[in-house]
Amino acid sequence: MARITTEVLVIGSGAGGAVTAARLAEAGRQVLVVEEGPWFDADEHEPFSLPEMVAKYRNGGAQVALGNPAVAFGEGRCVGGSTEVNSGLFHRLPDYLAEEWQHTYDIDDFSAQTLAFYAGQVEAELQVSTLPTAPPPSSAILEHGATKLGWRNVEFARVYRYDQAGRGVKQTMSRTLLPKALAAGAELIADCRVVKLLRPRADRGRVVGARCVRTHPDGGRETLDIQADQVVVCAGAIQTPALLQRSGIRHNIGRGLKLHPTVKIAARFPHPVDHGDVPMHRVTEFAPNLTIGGSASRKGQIAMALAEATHDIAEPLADWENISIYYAAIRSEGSGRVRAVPGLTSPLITYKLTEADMSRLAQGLVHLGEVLFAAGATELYPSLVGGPVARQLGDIGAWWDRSTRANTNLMTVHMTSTVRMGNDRSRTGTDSYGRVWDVANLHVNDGSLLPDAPGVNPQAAIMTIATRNTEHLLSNL
Amino acid sequence: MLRFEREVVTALGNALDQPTRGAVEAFVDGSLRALPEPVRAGVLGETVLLGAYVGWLRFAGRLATSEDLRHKLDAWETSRISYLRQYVHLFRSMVLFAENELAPA
Amino acid sequence: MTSTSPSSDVPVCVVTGASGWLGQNLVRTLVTGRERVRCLVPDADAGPPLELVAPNVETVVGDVRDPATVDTLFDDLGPRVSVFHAAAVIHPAQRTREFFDVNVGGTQMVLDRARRIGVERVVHVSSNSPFGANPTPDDRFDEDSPFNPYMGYGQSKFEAERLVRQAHERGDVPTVVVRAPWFYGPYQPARQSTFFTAIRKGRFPLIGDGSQRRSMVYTDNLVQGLLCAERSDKALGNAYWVADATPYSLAEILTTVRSALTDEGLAVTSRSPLRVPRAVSEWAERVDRLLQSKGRYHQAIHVLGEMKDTIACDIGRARDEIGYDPTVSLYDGMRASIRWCLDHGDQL
Repeated sequence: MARITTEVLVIGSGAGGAVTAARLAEAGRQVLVVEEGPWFDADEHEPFSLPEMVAKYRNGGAQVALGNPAVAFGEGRCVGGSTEVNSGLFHRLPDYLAEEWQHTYDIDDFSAQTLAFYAGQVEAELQVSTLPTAPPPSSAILEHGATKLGWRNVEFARVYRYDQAGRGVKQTMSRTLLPKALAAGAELIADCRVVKLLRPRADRGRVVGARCVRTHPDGGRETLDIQADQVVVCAGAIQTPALLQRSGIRHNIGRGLKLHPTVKIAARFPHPVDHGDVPMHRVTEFAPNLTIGGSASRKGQIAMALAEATHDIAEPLADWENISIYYAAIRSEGSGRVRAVPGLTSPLITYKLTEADMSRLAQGLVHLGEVLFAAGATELYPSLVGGPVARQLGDIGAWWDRSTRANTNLMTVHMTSTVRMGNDRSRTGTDSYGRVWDVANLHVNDGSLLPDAPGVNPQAAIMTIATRNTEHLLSNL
Repeated sequence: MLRFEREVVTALGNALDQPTRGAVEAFVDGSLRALPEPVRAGVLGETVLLGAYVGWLRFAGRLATSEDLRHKLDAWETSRISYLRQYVHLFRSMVLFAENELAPA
Repeated sequence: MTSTSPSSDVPVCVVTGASGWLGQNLVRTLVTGRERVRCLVPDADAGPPLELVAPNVETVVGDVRDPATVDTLFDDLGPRVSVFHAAAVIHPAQRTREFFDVNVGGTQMVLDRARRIGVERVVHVSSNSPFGANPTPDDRFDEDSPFNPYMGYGQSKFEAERLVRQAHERGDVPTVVVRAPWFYGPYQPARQSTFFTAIRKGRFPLIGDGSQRRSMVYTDNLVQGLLCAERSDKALGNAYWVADATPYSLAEILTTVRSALTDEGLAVTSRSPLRVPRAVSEWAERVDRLLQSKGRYHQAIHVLGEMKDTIACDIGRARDEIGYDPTVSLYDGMRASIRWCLDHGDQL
C-alpha cells in the first residue's frame, strides 16, 4: 500500500476544491488535491456532446434523485469538476439571501457586504464578463420575447475570456485556479477516489487522512493512504455527504438536499438558431423563485426533448436546426436526502417536491411558453409526458392540469445544502466556516455548505464562500 | 446488457444503418454499466420482470414484431406505474441521444 | 388620480371570480355606476348568469390561470380600468395544488396583464388565512400583524399578497389588498346553506365554551370596503382589514343566526347547541395538517379545525384611511342571507 504525507488534503478539484487548493498553495501551505475523475485537456470534448457525457460526467450523466416525480441530474467527474461541463454562467448570490441565511442559520460574518468582498476577488481572478458582441439567436430569443411582454430580463455574465477576435474561452478550474495551485507548489492526483476518511479509533475527534483507490493508465488499481494534518472535502453536494457518512460522520450530513428542479420546452422557430452555447439571457420577471433561461441544444438533446411530449418526433427532428431548448427553474420548498449505501459506490438520493413546488413548476412552464410564443416560436414541445404540443397561446393553458407528478419530467444540474454551514448545531453540519462539527481538522468547502438553493447558478456562491472559508482556515493554521 | 434490453433498444431505435445501430447499442450498454448501482439494480429487476412478461405475450401470440414491442413501450410511457414510465423514458432518452449524436449529422 | 366621488369613478372594471359569492354581490353594485363591467367566469353555467344582471356586463368564460383567457379578459378595455381580483380557491375539490395554481398562478397572470394595459388599480381580495389565529383571545389582527400562514390556503394567499405588494413596489401596477374574513350574505354557495340547516337543527358544533371570537363580514359591507379601497388615494400600496364593526363570539353567532332563522319564519330546534370539546377541533386541525402535507384536502375537517380559534381583526385603519364604515349588522345580514336562500328555493 502506497502512502503519501501532506499538510492539507483537498478532496475534489471543482469550484470549491480548486479555490481551496489555489489559496492555500499560494499562502505557502503544502497541498495535495485528489480528484476521482480523469484529467482531460479542456478542449478535448465538444460541450454537451456524447463523448463529453461519457468522459466527464459521473455515471455517464445519468443520475437520478428518486421521488414522485424523480429528478434527473448530472455531476461533473473530472479534474475541474462541474465547472468543466457547465454553462459558465456566473451570478453572485443575491444580497437578500446572504442576509437571510446569516440570520436564519446564524452564520458569522456572512453579510452581503462580506460576500461582495470575496465575490469581487473571485470575479477579478476569473474574468467574469458579458458578451463583447451581439448575443447569439438562441439567447436573443429570450430577450426579444421577454421585452415584447414587458418582462424583466438580463444577460448573465459568464466566466469567459475573450480574445481579440471575440472568441470566448470558458475559464474552467482546469484552465485557471488549478494551474495556479500547481504553479504555487500544490500537487494533484487524478483518477484517485477517496473511499473513506481515516480517523483514529482512539480519537474520533480528528481525521488523520484518507484512504483512496488510485487507477493507473493501464487500468491497474492501487490503494493509497494519504496522511494529512487538515482535510478539506470539496466533492460536491452529493459526494461530500456520502463520503462523510461512509467515514462515520453523520450529524446533519446528507439531509436537506436542495435542487433547482427544471421543466423544459423544445421550441421551434421559423428560422435557424445556434446550437453551440447555452443562452446567457435570463428572464428574471418572476425571480427569485422562478427563472427562465436556455439549455444545451445539440441535436441529441433536441431529440430527447421532443420525445418528452410526443412520439411523433421525426418531422420536427428533421427541422432540428430551427429548434432550441429552454427551461424554467424553481427554488424548491421541498428537499431531499443523500444516503451512502454500504458496499456501493453510489449513494441513494431521494427528493420530495411539495404541492406548491409542482404548482410553481406548472406556472414556470406556462410562463416559459408565453415568452417563447412572444419570441416567435411556432411549436412548443413541453417536458410533459403526452404534451400537448402547443402551436398557439390558447394551447398552453392545458399545461396547468397536465403538469402532474406522473407526467412531469424534471432535471437539474444544481445541487446544494447537504452539509449546511452555520452556528446552529441543530440545523448545520459545519460551523460558520465549513469546519465539520466535532472533527477538529476536517472541513467542507463546496456547494454542500449553502444553506438553501441560491436561485441562480451556484458556482459564484460556491467560489465566494470557499474563498472566505479558506482565508479563515489559513488564519487558524 | 440483457437480451430484453437489447430488444428494447432495437424497438425504440430509428437508425436505418447497421453501424449506427451497433454504436447506439454499444452506447446504451456502456451507459447501463455506468448507472449508479441502486438505479442499475432497479433497471435490471424491471428488465427481468418485463422481459418475462413480454416473453409470455409472445408465447400467447399477442406480441410478434419489434414494431409491436415499440407500441407496448409507447403505452408504458403513460402508465400509472412510475417505474414503468421511467424505465421506458430512460431507454428512449439513451437511444435518441446516441442516434442523434453518433449518426453523421 | 381618482378622487373619492363616484362621478369620477373609473368607468371600466374587470372582476375575476365574478360568478362566486363575493363576485355576484360586487358585480351587482358595480353595474349601477360604471360603463362596463367585464367579468371572468370559469364556465358558462357558473352561478346565476351575470349577463342578465345588466346590459353593461360583459363575460369572458375561462380559467384565470390561462394566458389566452386573461389576454381576452383585458383586451380592448379603454384607457381607464380598475381590477377587482376575487378569483380564488378556498376549498379545493381534490388537491391542495389547486390553492397554488389559482391563488398564486392566477394572481400572477392577472397582475401581469393589468400591468401591460396600464390599469389604474388592482384591488386584490385576500384573507385572514395568511395570519393564522390570533395569538391570544384579546389580540386583534391589524395592518402591522406578522404573517403566520395557516396551511395550504394561508400559504397560497400569503404568496399572492407578496406578488401583489411586489407588483406595486416595483412600479408594475398600483395595488391595494383587502383582507376579508369569513363572509356571509346573498349569493352564498351550497356549503353555507348547510351551515344554516345545521344551526336550525341543532347540529352545528359549539366548540369549547364558544367564547372564541371570529370576525365576519357581510357581503354588502365587504363590497363597500372594496370600493373604498379602489377610490381612496391613501390606499395605494397598502393592505386593509375589512370586516363587520366588531368580531363575534361563536356562541353569539349561533344565537344570532337562530334568531334570524326564527324571524324569517323557519322552525329552529329548541335544544341547546351541540357542545363539542375543544380537543375535537384540535384533533381536526392535526388531521387537516397531515392530509394537506400529502396534498389532500377535506373541507369539513378543515373547517372543524379552525372553529376553536379566535380569528379576529381590527378595522380601525380601514375606517380612518379609506372611509370604510360597515353599516349592516350580523342579525340583519343573516336575515338577508336566509331570505335570499328562501327566495331562491332553498328550503334550509
